[in-house]
Amino acid sequence: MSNLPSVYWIKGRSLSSDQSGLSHMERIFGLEEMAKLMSQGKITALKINLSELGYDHYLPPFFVINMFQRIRDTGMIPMVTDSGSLFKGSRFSGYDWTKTALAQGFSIGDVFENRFLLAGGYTNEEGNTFECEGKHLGAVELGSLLTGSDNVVVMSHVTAHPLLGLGGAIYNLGLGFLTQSGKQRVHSCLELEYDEDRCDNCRTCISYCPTGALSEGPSKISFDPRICNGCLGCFISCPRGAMKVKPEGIPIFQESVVEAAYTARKNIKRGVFFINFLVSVTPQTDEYPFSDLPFVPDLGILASEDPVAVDWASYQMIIRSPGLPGSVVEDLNVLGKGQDKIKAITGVDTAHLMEYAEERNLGSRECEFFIST
Amino acid sequence: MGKSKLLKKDPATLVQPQGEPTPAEKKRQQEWHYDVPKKAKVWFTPAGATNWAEALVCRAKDLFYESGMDKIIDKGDKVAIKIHCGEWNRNMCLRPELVAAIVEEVEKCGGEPFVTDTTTITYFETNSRTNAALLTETANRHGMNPASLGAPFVVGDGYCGEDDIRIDLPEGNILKESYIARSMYQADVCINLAHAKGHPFTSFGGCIKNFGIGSQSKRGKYLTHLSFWGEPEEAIGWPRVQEDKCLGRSKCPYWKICEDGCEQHAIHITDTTLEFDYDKCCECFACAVTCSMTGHQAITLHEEYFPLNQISMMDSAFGVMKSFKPGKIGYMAYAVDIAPECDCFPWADTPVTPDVGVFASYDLIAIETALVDMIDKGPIMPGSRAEQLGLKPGEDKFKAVNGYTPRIMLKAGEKMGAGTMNYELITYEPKLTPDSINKWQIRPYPAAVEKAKEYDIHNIARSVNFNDPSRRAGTPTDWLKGGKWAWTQFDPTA
Repeated sequence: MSNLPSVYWIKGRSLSSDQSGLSHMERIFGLEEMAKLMSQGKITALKINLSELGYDHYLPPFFVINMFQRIRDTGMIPMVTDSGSLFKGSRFSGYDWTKTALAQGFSIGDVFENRFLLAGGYTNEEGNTFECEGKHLGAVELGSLLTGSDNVVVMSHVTAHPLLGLGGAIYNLGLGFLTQSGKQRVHSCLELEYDEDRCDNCRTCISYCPTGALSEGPSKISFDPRICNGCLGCFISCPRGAMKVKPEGIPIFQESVVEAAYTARKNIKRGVFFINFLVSVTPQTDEYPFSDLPFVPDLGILASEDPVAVDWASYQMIIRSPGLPGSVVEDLNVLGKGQDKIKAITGVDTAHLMEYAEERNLGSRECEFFIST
Repeated sequence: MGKSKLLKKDPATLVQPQGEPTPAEKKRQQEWHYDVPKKAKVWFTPAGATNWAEALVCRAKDLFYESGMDKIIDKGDKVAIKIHCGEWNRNMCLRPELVAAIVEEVEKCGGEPFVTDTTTITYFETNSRTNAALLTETANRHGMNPASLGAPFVVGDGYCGEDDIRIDLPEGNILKESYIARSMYQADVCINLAHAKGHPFTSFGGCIKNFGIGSQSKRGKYLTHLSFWGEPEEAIGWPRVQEDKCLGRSKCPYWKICEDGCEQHAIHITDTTLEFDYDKCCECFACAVTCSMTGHQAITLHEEYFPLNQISMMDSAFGVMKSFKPGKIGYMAYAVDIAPECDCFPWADTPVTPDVGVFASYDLIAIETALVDMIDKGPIMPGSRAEQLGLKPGEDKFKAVNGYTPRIMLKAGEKMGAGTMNYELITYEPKLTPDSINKWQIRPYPAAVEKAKEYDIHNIARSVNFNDPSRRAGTPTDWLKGGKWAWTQFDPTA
């Protein structure tokens, strides 16, 4: 009997009616780990990626609705959730977050019975502070919805992440349940660098800046790093790439996310399960206000109790897959199977994220791999 | 009998106690002041409608502007619209469109509205709003969701009902602090949008209850309900248990509901009586409510609990007032479906009086006084509890139906400086004009001929011969009085 975590792969192809998206969801729901979650406790938080307005390759609401209904039909109460954003975009305030969900087709009163809430409450600050083990975070603020629910199912839309490498289960577990204060802690290692020469005064960044660190200047934007809180709104929104993240902070950010993820997992009352959707795998995360073409074909769904195993499997699959012509990986010349497309796009070592995650006992890369037919 | 052993420290490592105000906030609370007017204005528009301009929704929108409520909202203000979303199966809580009516105007003023209500005092399923998971579902049942409201519906006191800020109340009568739901506290403006109805504990539920109970977190609700106050023998902070009145398993058909309803297992029913463990009691009121259905009075509340609860509720309501900058709270109330019991009940009895109308004010005590005065003046609704008690118009309806006058909380509020019972009623009647017909319609009425053409739908009126004899028997004259098939053949009263 192996101690390795199980990772299940539902292949991306659908060649007959018993391989539709519906039957894929049925297969995932039929896994013994899901059955175990459904048999314990009363409330299951269903974590999704609510994407920024403008990002159009998000996971179709159908998958979320289907999972919601299956959970509800067992007698368990599902609560759909995601955190608000640290930068001032369309998911910054509770009001805008709700409007964004509706605009994306998440019909809150209709299919979700109103059970669709911010993890940190309408104010994004509803939570408690929990001690963190590790090198960087002394403590982190976890949203009440995470610590108040019995179980958590994390449905991650897998993409590249500019600072983590892979944006998957660890990313969602580590950042997706934090209050604004919690996110600020994790972001505190990041320093923004302003390349004035690239600025053409389009002023897009200003509306994203919550602190006023960016302000209008005589001919260029003015940046005051002293009041910057590292929210990355300018980084993701600047069309000229004038704001960059100083590289020294990136490995620390990866490690901080792991520490936050570990603390989040530790304070979940009962069980957690991770479902990674390798569907529309874009170079941007759902937090970006735009999405470029996916850079690999849809590769299916990976699921596991272990966030490290499921993320490592996701990463490996993306590397081994051929890239999609016409996408950014063709520009970067990494269309071939086996080429690290994520490293080419982001410049970041996903392996470091995974190694530190193993070091902190968040999970293991080694797994038993099951293919569902 | 010892004190209950609740209030253990939460095992989570807390850096800052939830709800503790910052030093800046403490200072703001100390400096907060409300200038009580000698006479407060209360705007009122009566219910009843015979044309477009008089519809209740139109009256409510008109009153919003007549009272100047648009002026308290600055562009970008977060506006909390506090309502009572109603318990499951309660059919007399506010209709969503009565709330949406105000949401729409708040948006037009540039505000960012959200509609909110809080979880109940209990932690388990003695009712259907005890935590965020159940409150969202129950609110949805009543149509309180973004689709119907046009604004987010927010669980005010957080996922577990503990997201709050503490408000100091040195002026409080009984309570010296209260805890406001944090999503309301962080709003810039509050519209206290109440539904006027009775309540068996507090006599009346209007704007004061909307703040004093409905805007409190669970911490605040326990405080306001006087839970664990004094000794069990005093029976104010605990249910009053009279074991000799319990019929026991052998004679009471509800014994199992009573025993099972106590989540803390404080109640054990024997064959002939009951045993009650005060150490375990968590003041959820489930046992008192259950026993009240039996009529045996084994577990009840002390008669004088109710007036004390009015006073403590007024204290808490004042705490909510203090959370907002002076001039940033508007009070509105729909005095319609005025049932004798509260929207927190899973049923609704016949209203005590026909619909009265809509009220608006900036003084909490004034609007509440006007509400109970006008309800008392109203006729006695046939078939209601008020009629059973033989009440006459003008008599204190809620005192008769619920045991105590609702004016106890009003005087308690006046004493604190929360407002004045002295009000000037400004009655507003919409005037029917060509403009007022269209003011609040979704499309202008009547639609001009040119507008009809915009739809460009084939009009069958002119292309089908409806007069063909194969379609209708005879002519109208055949069917009029005196005709061969006169309609009077079908009239049993003719």
